[in-house]
Amino acid sequence: MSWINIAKKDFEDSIRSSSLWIVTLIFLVLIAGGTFIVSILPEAIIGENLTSDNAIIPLQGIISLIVPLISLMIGYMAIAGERDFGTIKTLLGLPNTRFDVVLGKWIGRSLVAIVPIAIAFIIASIIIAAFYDKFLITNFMIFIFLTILLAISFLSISIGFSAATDTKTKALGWAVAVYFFFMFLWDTFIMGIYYVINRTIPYAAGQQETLPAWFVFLQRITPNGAFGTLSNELMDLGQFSQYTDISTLIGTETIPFYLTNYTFLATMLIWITIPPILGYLVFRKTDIT
Amino acid sequence: MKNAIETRGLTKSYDGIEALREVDLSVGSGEVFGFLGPNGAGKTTTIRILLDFIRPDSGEAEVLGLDAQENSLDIRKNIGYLPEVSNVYSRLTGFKHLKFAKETKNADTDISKVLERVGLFHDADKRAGTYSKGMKQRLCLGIALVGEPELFILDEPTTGLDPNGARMVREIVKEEKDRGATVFFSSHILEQVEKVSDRVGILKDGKIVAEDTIEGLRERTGRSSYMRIEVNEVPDLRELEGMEGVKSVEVEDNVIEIEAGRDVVRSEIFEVIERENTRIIDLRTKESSLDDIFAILTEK
Repeated sequence: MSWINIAKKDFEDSIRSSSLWIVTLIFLVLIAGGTFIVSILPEAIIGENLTSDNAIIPLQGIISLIVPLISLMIGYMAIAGERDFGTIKTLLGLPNTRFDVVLGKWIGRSLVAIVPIAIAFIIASIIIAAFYDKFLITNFMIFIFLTILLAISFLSISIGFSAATDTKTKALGWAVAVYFFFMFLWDTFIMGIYYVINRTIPYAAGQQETLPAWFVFLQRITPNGAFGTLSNELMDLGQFSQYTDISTLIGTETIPFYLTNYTFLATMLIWITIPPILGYLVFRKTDIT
Repeated sequence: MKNAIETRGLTKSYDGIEALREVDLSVGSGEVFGFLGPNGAGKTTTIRILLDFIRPDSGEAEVLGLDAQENSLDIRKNIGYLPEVSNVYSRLTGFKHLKFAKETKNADTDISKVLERVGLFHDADKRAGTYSKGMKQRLCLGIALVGEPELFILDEPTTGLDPNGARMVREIVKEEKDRGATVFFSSHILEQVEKVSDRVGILKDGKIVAEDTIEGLRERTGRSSYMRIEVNEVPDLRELEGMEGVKSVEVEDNVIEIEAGRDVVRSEIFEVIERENTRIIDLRTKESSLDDIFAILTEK
């Protein structure tokens, strides 16, 4: 049970770090600030009835870019940093197992990732209550929930790499690589697979073309892909053009189980759990020098 | 009684370089054991195996009667460990560090007592990042003290400390020994080990070259002891020169310098000198220093 102590210590250590407050500030500016800006936009843009959904639409694009980056930055040092500085020896000289270390760090850093987001959303809620015509609570809660899932997914990936590497430099390298891979290279990668199979790329023949279900599946199994899909499906605000309605995309009325919301929710849970476990399996066997 | 530490045939290589070769060690319960050797001899590697930070290529290690790999958690509940480099969480206070150790060990240690013992009482509420190197070392020693462990594993506890700090470490080692704890500590400085150790082990190039008491080590080297005897008048020394084990006798004014083997009984020498009117005014002995022994064992 000493992972609780490690999580507590890690969180206490982090809240004394100026970088946590910088992250909080960034989220405050983006989320609370963004919410406020939407409220002062002219009616010509927003329409007559200003609801919290109007805030969600612009915020989600920003969040899907920024939250992964910040989560990776919060997580990459967690364990590799302790190995780099040597404090891991104090940690493992005490009765903590390596599992305690990974679990404690994972929970501690998850809190570090969640707290600034929560603060920013609380302020945003106050702004909505004060300046908006209508607060659509359900969608807003789904939005917060998905944002936190996205944050923890990327955090978990960086914790996994942090457990598997021995220096902060290597861990940082992996974190940067993960960001670019998921945010920018994944689609190209999937296109490559499509090309190898079909000797053409999607939409080469025109916009009406439907896509194979497996292609849509692969496109959306990244944490950010699952986040975008779930955002579209659960809130139905049409905020991400690239995550068009699945049945239109694949051209069938019924969609296979692996393209349902449950699958993408499960995908996010897999991103949250598997990378730290894999990282632990490497960390468990490694020499601490 | 079971041994506090027992290793058999520990062997470990890093990237093809042998760090340890067939290391056998036994540290008795309640003993203060000095683990000596030049830098790079493999002391820290051995300690890391005892703590399960690294795993040996072959051989076994038992700590407190438990297998170092299988039962590491149970072992670490009952040991106090000081790492070779005292790194601290720079944003947490000294007090928080000890509180963390206390909670992790589920101990009922009085943190302020520990702070007093390691001389950090007045700096406990400062962030450890502001501490000097010596203070960080004191803090890490404090962490090791939490929970009254049965066994201490201290890696170079006096390195980086000023003479006062080094004395504090020796005092703590003695106090903990009196409490009944076993202390296993490494050093590349013989002087630090000599003063407090019941027994020492000397490691060189990953091999144990000696494991003995300080006295035993002195004897093992078979070197001489020296005596400088000041007398009121120099007697006839022929009998002395003829004594078995006496290697040399030199006289300068009324001072006699004698080099004798360690098996020579001193009182016999005194008897011969004081036979007639000669009286001994002053006597100084100098044993072959452990430094010499250390040098011989680790350099040859």
